[in-house]
Amino acid sequence: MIELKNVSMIYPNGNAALRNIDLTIEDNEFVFVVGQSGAGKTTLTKLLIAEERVSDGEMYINDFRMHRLRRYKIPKLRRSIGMVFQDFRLFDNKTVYENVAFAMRVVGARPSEIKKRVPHVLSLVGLAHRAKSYPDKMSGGERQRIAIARALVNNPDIIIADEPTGNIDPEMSKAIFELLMRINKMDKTIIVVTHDHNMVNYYNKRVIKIENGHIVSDTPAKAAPAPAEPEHADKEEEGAEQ
Amino acid sequence: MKLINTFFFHIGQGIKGIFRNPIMSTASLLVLVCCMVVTGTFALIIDNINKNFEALDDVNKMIVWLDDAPEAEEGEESGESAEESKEENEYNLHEYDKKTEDAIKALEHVVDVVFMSKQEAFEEFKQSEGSDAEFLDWFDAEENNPLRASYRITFASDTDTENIRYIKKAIAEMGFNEENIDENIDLYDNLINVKGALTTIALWLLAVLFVISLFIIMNSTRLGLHSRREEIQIMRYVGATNSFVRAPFVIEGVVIGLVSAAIALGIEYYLYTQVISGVIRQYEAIVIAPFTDYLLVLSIAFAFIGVFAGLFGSVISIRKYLKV
Repeated sequence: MIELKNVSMIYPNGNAALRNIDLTIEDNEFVFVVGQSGAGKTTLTKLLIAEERVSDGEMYINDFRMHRLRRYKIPKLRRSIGMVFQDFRLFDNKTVYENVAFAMRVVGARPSEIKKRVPHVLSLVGLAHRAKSYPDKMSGGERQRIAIARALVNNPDIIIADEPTGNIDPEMSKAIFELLMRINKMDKTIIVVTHDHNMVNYYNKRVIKIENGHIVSDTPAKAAPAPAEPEHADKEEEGAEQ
Repeated sequence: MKLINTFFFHIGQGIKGIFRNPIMSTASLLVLVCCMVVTGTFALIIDNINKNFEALDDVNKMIVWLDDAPEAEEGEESGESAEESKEENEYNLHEYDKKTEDAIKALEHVVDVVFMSKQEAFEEFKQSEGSDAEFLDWFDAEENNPLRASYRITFASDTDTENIRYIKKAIAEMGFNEENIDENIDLYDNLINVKGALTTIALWLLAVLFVISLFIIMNSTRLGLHSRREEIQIMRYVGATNSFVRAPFVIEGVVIGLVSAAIALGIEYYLYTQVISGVIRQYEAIVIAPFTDYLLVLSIAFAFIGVFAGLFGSVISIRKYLKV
């Protein structure tokens, strides 16, 4: 579960990107985060992966107390979150297989484990036949699927996609969203930051709208479970290590 | 097993990194080689200068001249006084005396004492004059030899002037006239000063060259890292620890450092044996040490500089990129 309690984020130049945000995202939820450029969406994703720290308030991701997170714990947090970027961020000098395997290398997975898991994830995103290809020779949609495979390969609880269809044509965009929906059904929490209103309207999912650093609307999906009351009394940082 | 896998993965990534960025790798390698060759050549030249100073004859020598014994026919009075002085002094100040030689040898810093008789001095002088020694025909080594017998004392080359003065004083206390004791304290002092100045200049220059090398290495590493910042970002986003991100770059730096050291050693060998030695051989008075004398120390120094520069350069340069 992701929980933000009265969170503000002010950059060193004084720009308040987020102000007094209260937000709860339950496990296995699918959430769209929408808003105009500069509204604070990217800052929210940066907070979620500890690229930025909250200036004020409390923030929890599963067992991680983000507002007090020690630097050395960041890698562990990021291994529990799969990140998908608009610009894909792939190694162009590595094959599709190597790109996905790299994420497993980072967590110290055994070669036998990698050999088993990577083909499985590649077939899941429909790229098993392109395993030996290089990303720079592939279409935007395919590249984004590599990124999704990489985000998925370590079996994280949460996947955050920041404008995943920003560089992809509409046909491919739908395929990417379909893929994210399928992944959501694998008991993963999915957070999609997007400008693509068509897709947001098409899928009946929870939509959080941010403007000027504030949440201005939070529309639940019809079938989405009601957010539970936060329970942090037992969320000790030590627990995160266990 | 997990650690071994990761270790070999890093080694592979580090070596791949060198070939993945050939321009930056070559730039770092060339800079390191240049710095090592300049530093090494300078150090070798300085050491050879020092060795030549140390090899200079008579710098660390002292001569104690022995006055001829008073003539016996000069009269009873003078004979008596000679006897008296002999009684007063336990050392023989006119002829070879084992006790005197041993006493000098026993002095601190003295490494050798050789007695040279009047006759030996005459022969040596005659030989040194060569064909110009005709005027010595007027003299005879036994009859009217004008030269004096002497003790030739050699002291350790690292003896300082204060200790040389102490040796001189101790010999004078044995009864020898101070005027009969020759040393090269002034020359020795000057040489020590020159050596000291050269060593200081050398150390400063070496330090400056080393810092410049490090600075250039760090900058070329930084440029290399800048071109790979996205790669580092990706590593960070997928949950790589700092050490995991750093390892391939460090290995890359160390490998470049070691390869640079090997190339620099080869160039240094060529420079020293062909160029420097070739030039210096034209001056017979200057002795040049063989390269093998320096091979071990130079290999260690170059390897150390290479590894240190590679390690330090990459660790410092990468810090900025680990803040993602």
